[in-house]
Amino acid sequence: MSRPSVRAVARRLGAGLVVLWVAATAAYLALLAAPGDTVDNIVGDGADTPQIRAEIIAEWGLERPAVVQYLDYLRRLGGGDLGRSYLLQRPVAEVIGEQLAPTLTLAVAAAGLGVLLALLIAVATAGDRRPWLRRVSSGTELLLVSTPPFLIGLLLLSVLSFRFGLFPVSGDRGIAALVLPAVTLALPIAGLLAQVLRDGIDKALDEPFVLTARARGVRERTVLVRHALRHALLPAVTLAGWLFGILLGGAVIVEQVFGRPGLGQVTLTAVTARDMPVVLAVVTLSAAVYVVVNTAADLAYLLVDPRLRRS
Amino acid sequence: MTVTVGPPLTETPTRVLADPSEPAVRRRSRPRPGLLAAEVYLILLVVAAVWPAALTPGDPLAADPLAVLSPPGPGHWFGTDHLGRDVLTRVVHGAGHSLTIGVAATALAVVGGVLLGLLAGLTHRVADEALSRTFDALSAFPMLLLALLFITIAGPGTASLIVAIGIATLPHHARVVRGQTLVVRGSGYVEQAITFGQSRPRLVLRHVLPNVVGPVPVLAVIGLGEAILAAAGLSFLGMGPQPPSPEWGAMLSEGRNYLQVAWWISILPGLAVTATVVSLTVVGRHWQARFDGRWR
Amino acid sequence: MPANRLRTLAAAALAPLLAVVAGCSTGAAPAAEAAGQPRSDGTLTWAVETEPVTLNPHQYAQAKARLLVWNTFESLLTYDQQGKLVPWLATGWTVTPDGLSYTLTLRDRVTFSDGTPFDSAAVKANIDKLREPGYAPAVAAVQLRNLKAVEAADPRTVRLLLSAPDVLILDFLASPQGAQIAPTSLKQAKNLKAGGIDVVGTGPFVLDRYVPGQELHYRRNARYDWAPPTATHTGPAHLDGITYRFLKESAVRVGALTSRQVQLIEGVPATDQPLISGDRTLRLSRELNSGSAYSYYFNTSRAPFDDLRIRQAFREAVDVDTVLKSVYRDTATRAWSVISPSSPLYDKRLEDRYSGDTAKANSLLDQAGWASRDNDGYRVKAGKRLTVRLVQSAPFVRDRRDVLAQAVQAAVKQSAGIDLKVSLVDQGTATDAFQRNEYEVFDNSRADTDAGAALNLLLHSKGGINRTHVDDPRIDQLLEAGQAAADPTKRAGIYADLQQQVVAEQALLLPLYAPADQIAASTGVGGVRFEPTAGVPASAYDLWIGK
Repeated sequence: MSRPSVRAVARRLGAGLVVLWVAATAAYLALLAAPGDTVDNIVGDGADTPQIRAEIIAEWGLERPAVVQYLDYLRRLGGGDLGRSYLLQRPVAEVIGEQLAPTLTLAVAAAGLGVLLALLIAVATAGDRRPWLRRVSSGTELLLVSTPPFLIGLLLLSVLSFRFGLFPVSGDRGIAALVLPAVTLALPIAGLLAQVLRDGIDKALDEPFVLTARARGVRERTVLVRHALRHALLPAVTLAGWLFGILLGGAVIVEQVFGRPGLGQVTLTAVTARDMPVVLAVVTLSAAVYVVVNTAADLAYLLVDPRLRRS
Repeated sequence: MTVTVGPPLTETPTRVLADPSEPAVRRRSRPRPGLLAAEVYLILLVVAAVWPAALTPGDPLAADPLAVLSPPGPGHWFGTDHLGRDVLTRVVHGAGHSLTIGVAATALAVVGGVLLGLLAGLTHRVADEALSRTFDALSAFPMLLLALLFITIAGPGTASLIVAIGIATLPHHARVVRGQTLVVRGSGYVEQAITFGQSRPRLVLRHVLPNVVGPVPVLAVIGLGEAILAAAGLSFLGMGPQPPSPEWGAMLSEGRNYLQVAWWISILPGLAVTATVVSLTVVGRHWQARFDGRWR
Repeated sequence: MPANRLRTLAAAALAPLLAVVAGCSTGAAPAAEAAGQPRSDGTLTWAVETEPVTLNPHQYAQAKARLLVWNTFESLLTYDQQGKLVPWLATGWTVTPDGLSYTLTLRDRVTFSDGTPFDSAAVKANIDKLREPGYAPAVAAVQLRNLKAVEAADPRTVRLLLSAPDVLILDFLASPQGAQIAPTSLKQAKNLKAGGIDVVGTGPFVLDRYVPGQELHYRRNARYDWAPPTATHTGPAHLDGITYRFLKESAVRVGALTSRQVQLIEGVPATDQPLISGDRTLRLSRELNSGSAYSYYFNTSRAPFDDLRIRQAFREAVDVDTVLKSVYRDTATRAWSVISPSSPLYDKRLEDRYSGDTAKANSLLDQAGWASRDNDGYRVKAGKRLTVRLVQSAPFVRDRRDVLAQAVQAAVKQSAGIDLKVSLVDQGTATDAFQRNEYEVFDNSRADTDAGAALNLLLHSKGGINRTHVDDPRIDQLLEAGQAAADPTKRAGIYADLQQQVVAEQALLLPLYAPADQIAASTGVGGVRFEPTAGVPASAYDLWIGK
């Protein structure tokens, strides 16, 4: 790698770290500004006496100034220590670690299913071949992206699980229990991706290279998949960051609707219970993943397109 | 070139993407029942938001303990809920909540986005860098997480939802505008204008702003749909207007416990959300197609 | 006191006998007959509403987690169906006449599931741990506040020395917080306060799997042979194992049961009960909880509830029966007092003494100066609307109390023009509102087995949850007398006076309903029971699978 590109890479990485620090600090400040102090949250709805409060303050080191607590938090974060949950009295890394797998499974299944569906739909409906199919499909896509995911989830749950008993109601118990949540999360993704992809294919179909291919007598299907689709995939790939956001945000709702364990549930519980260490960890972690995804995407572009290296 | 939204950024993509099944030029003259239905629905929605009593005279909070969970039928066209309140009345009154949150959040995002985007696109590199990193940091939180965090501080409610959704969608608008600004800035006529010695504010107002805000109205209509969806989602999680407010997402959330015995409490408000977002998208696409046609 | 000694002796002598006849005296649920004869094998899945925040019984704070505690842990005493204390890991107790020294004898040949023997040193280790700073502040400050020292007199005898007479110490010994954890676990557990598979007890099951967010699995403790007299059998549990799945949503729980994915569920809301009763293969049972009734407490430290007339008016403005019927159909039991009607301390005389008289409510408000109304129909005085705020903490809302609040809200508006503002917030915001005294109504129910423990917290001027801010020497005096009185009849008299004082005379609260628990189960499951007195679902010890 040449010198400028090393610098460009270093710059992206540095920017990523800054974003991470800003995100963690913002989250920390946000929670500091929240009404009710930490002791209030730990006391809960039980008995509340000065003696109980004093013990809680001593246990969590809350008597220290906020700045000291913040620096301590950063120091421990730097060392990979996410702290201990106020509510669950366990290390946060453990709490999140256990819940990572179900959410990842859900996200990967939903993303896979969504992309697959979108590809099928886009390829089947691109071009001017079947106008009626295209109308039906674009109507359906519009409906899917416009429907709140929890409504889709509730409908699937009540019909397929309660009424017909085809799928288990909830939990993370094997493939069958994954189907409905993954479908719920995948449908809006498929609806949107299909639009983007078809748009791309349509544009590509007007390009000269397609005409050339057609003139060479290449079959229409091959033209579509080999040439046009490939061309349409590039802009779609830039949606990775968006996809990540929708998967994590969607996971919160889908896990709630289906009673699935996972990061979404952990986040929601932690936010409502003001379990500061867990909220901070989730925020920092999600920012980290986002930064990694985007930095990786940026770096990939750098490799692909040398013109960008100097900017 | 100046009017397309540009390449999708690593951000919430707009739902605009001019529907290719309806090439604007070819079909514009044909009557479009879908568009008409969407427009009628949106007009009804605005009426419901401004003057709900015109559509349903009842009180959305009036509970009738003797008519709890009545199925849809004469008297209660959308049935009644778990407290015996008329669901249709509540759905109609809910339009105000959804539209207020949607419009206010979108306005916040669009106005803030245009200003910050212009600023980033026109100022010095350092300021641009700082602003862009801030947008990045904001986008590093998935929208829902950002909104959750914000609501943790401000408490649930209409105002919190507006600000949370506004802030969460602002970076997207800002980036689009920044991108447009850079394009415009690098284009020949601005350079020309600079050569002719035009003053800076005049330059921005006369040349940059008009070219940059072109896509904004359309973006705003679509963004409105997204904001309403997001508001419904957050209300569903209990972060929105408090009971007994007839907010659609909250109604859906309250109703889901009765799904097996009374589907109408949750499904009908849910469909109202869907119909609103679909209508907004249909109308937004139509406008975009028209603008595209005009500017082409 | 000879009476106490006698009772102890009788209890000790009767223990084995009781165990045999317990089937009749504790009234096993009718489900038992449908399923046939008890059998020893099989596993069940039970969907529960609440995932406990901790599996360590010392940290117990959720009534909904009580059914899990007794699978793995046991206390020294327990309550029978009549609300009397009976031995469990202890064989009996005596108390000195001054009420300052309790001597407990312990059951022999009991071991923790890791093999550690259960003896007086273990009891002492548990209580000492509870008093360790930072470990269980709420237990140390409330339940053990009168405890001075614990002595292990010999391996089978423990003595508790008090600084003031306190009959509630026995309630502590029967509570989940008083459950016995193996001293080895107290020393070595990785996350002691969170509990887990490495925190073990003496119970009929052993926790062997915990998947957070999803389920708990217990397997039978084959060596178990020390069931309390309240159980319907002796020896090891019938089931090989049991899984508890956490399904927060009631609709999902009911759906899981009706589609046969689980065999038992708890927490069946009124509207879903027809789905259960309409299915011949399912059976629903229900029991009132002990402790305090679910009530709205009025904050007397600020306007408008500093005025007795407004408190009375609010109470009269709510037709509690109609409100309960609309929210809970016919499944809720109305409460008339601060104490749940299932408690032996409940004062029946309060029934029908107040409530639902709209005319009276309106005339009281007129008298108090809230005579005019604004455009929305709310009463106003000096340009200020008659607004009262109820702050509910979302994580602790159960039984659709948010919905009930909406029904009360509609009722007080319609009948008397009172503006009840309900906000459902997170715990921090709620505690903050209480700290800053920014609320007028506080809602609460407590599931303490001895209602006196709940009243100490709620009504004593120095109580930990005195959210009415009542500071009345007569009330304090009655509470203190009640805590020191050993004689049950005398004690009931004291609490009757107290209830008259706070409910009838001072109108400090509006009692709404007596909290209850429901279990819906497949008819193939036998031994479905509630824990005596507590009224919450019992542990899995007596459960079995028929056919």
